[in-house]
Amino acid sequence: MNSHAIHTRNLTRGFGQVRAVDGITLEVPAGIVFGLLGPNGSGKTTFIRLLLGLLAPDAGSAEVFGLDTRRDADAIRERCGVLLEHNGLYERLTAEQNLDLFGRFWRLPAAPRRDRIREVLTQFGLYDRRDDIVAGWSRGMKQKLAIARAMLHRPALLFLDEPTAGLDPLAARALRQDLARLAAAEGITVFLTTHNLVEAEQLCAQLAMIRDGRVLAAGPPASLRGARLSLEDAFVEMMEMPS
Amino acid sequence: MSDTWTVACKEWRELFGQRGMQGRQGMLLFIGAFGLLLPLMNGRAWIASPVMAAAWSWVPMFLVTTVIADAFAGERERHTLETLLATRLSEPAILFGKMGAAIGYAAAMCGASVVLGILVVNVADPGPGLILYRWPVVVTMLVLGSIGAVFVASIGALISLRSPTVRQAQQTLGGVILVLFVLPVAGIRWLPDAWTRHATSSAALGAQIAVGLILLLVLVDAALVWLTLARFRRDGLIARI
Repeated sequence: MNSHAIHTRNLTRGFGQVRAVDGITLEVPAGIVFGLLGPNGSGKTTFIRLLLGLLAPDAGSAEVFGLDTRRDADAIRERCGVLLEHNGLYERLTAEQNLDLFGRFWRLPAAPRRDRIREVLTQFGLYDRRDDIVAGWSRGMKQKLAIARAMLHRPALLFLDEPTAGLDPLAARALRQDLARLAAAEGITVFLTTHNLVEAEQLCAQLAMIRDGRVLAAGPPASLRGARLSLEDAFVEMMEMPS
Repeated sequence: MSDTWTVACKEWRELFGQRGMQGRQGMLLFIGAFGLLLPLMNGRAWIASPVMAAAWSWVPMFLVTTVIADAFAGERERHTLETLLATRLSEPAILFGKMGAAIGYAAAMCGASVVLGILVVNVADPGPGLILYRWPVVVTMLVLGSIGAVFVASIGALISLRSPTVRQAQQTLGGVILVLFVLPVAGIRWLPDAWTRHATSSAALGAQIAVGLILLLVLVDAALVWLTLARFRRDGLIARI
């Protein structure tokens, strides 16, 4: 059993002249909630895409559960659930149809698929709205449904790209609580990106701070905070450091 | 194979869902025109005329055109492409599921119109007995219709892969199809008269030329499908999102 869910070495990917991910070396232990903190455009989304094998690295390497992202991308995606920058829901379908579709993608047999759909919809308080067309839902409900979809096939690793972005404070707080509860209940590794420091501190056992595609610091929130008053102070200090 | 089928079913569900009432009306209008109105207007000639084989060979291509542009450009526009690519589905399963859905849609629309047309003609214009399409006509419709549908589906998928919006994909596909079909038709007029006279001088030679052309088109289809599959790479698609 691999003790690290994710292991990258000097991982690099550029687009034209811009290096979106610039030599990141990082280890994420299995079974924890890990947060990647960084401002907009710092390379968080590109890093997730590289880990999922959706983008090929220009240099360096990455392993997810010991599987190489270049050679074994299909096997990696088989083990992962994702909520990416956009929720990716089919808005003209109902909540249940969305989950049923992805259940079929993951080859869940019919009866267990129905049971699991009921289970995840209930966990997120959406079961009574299962026959609603998703287009009319609030952003918070859609985010919940997208996370339910990501967890449907019981992945070993869940990627959440800014899961509370654009939500009002109450909806964001409710989603964080759901996430913390479900991550513990399902015993999965969660890799989330955020620029919300409260979220990072509340949810994550370990954090990495990233700027311009480079990791500036990594470790438990308390060690990153150090002697400073808050994680926000540490974050601002890191981001204002000269390159 | 089951993944391809799952993707195709998803496409059909989206097709009927997204187009809503307007889309369903469009489909009914097509079947009403080609299965009811035109057979009523033409009577038994609608089935007996050999021209119908050529006509029904073209129709599937245009039906595929209306659907295939949405395949990837639509997912990109609706922000669902990346989530789809992040699933365990293989690239061939996604591609062939989408192409299969467009071809299946065209086949279903044509099939429904042909069957309804046969019923309408036989009921409205009974004549001496039951009239059906002759088997050479059916074979021609199936072979040429399939070749044309795969041709357009491949080109459409290639264009849709690279287009940021459905509208742009539709416009580009329309232009490409126009050029690809108008040029050969116009080109025939420039062939030396001796060639065309020779080719039409005997039925056997005409048949040989037709078979040769069909084999050539099958090869072109196979090359296009291979090219589309080669161009369908997650990395390339994600980099364009």
